[in-house]
Amino acid sequence: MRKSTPENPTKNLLEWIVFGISTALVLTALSFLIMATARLEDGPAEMRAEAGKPVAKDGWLRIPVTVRNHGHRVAANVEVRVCIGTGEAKQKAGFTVDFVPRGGSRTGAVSFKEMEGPLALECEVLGYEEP
Amino acid sequence: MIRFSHHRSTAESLQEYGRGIAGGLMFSIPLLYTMEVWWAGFMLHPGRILIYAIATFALLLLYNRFAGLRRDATLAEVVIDSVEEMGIGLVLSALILWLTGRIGWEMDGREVLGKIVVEAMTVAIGVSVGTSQLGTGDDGDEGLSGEEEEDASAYFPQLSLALCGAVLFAANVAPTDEISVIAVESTPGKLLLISLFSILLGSLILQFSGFRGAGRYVARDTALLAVRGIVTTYAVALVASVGSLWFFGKLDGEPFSQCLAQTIVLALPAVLGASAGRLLLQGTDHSKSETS
Repeated sequence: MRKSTPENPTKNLLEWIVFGISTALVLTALSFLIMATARLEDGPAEMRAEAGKPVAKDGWLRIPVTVRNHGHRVAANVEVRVCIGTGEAKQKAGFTVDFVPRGGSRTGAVSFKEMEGPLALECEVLGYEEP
Repeated sequence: MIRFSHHRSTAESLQEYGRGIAGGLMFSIPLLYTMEVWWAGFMLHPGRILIYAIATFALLLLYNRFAGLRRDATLAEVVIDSVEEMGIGLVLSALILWLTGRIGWEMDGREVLGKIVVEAMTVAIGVSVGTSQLGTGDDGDEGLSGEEEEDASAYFPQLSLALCGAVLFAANVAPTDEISVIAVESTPGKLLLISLFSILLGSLILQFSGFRGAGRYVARDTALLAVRGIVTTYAVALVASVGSLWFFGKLDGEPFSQCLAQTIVLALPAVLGASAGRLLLQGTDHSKSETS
């Protein structure tokens, strides 16, 4: 590599390194965007809610919930409802997630008073907006 | 073989990058701390983000050609500088988003990349401005001389720089909900007043306030030239506003009247960028004669 001098200027090693890394980053970002553009299909958001392993503590049962969007659009104000128990002992709880990106996920949790008997856990997405 | 116009030591280059990083953060920190912009990273169609990246690169080329640190640089140098600025913008954007917990390994790659790219574009413009305008002026870069200087003061270069300034200001406000709230609640009479005030503001800055650089870069030889400058500045502000609003999805599904109202509301800050911002982006007034 030619050395930079005031009479015969060129970039110094640091500048070439920065340029090399920058080129790689910019090309990667653009390639990714081009691929994402080409692959993106038109379709609705597809929401799934999955409950994680319940954790009992101090008489309360904490249930983590993961909400995933398998569809092609962003979902906003996603309402999640979780029910445990059966019959009269059935308890409900829920939460709202601001946004779930396409292909993305968000986590939340609900809490119930600890109860006797089988959990009979149900977890579902009640609805969402497509912004 | 690429011809380079300037020699810099590694220490000088490090100083230059330092200025670029400072400038990048100064100009983009409001956006990096705005949640509507984080949301834009995953809500917008990737094709739209791609267009935004290409448009930003074009703005960087224009800025580096007509107002950057090395205005006597060759085209290849201008391209190299612009790529470097985008690269630094991507790294800075990713760093700040990660530090503030806006991106993480658990997130989908598209979401992470979208957020980084959307934020990085304003950072990149800030890097460019910071590199050229935050220096001491005695760093060995010669700036323009003779025909090149006249070239930079001409109509198209000034138009380009007005667009850079307008986009820089408009993009900072366009993603916020406040623009649509003001637009919805404004009567047509109030919108007309906002529009007239914007034009008045542009006139004041360009023609009457003795703003730094106005003597050199603003055409005021005849009344017609002065009017052309004011009208063009407002038109550039409107274009920058429409572009920024469209990019952030603020015009999607809106009726024409609401699109127009939002554009007029956003054109007020944009006209500041197209007038005062444009002059500040070009640095100090060297007491040259008026050339356009």
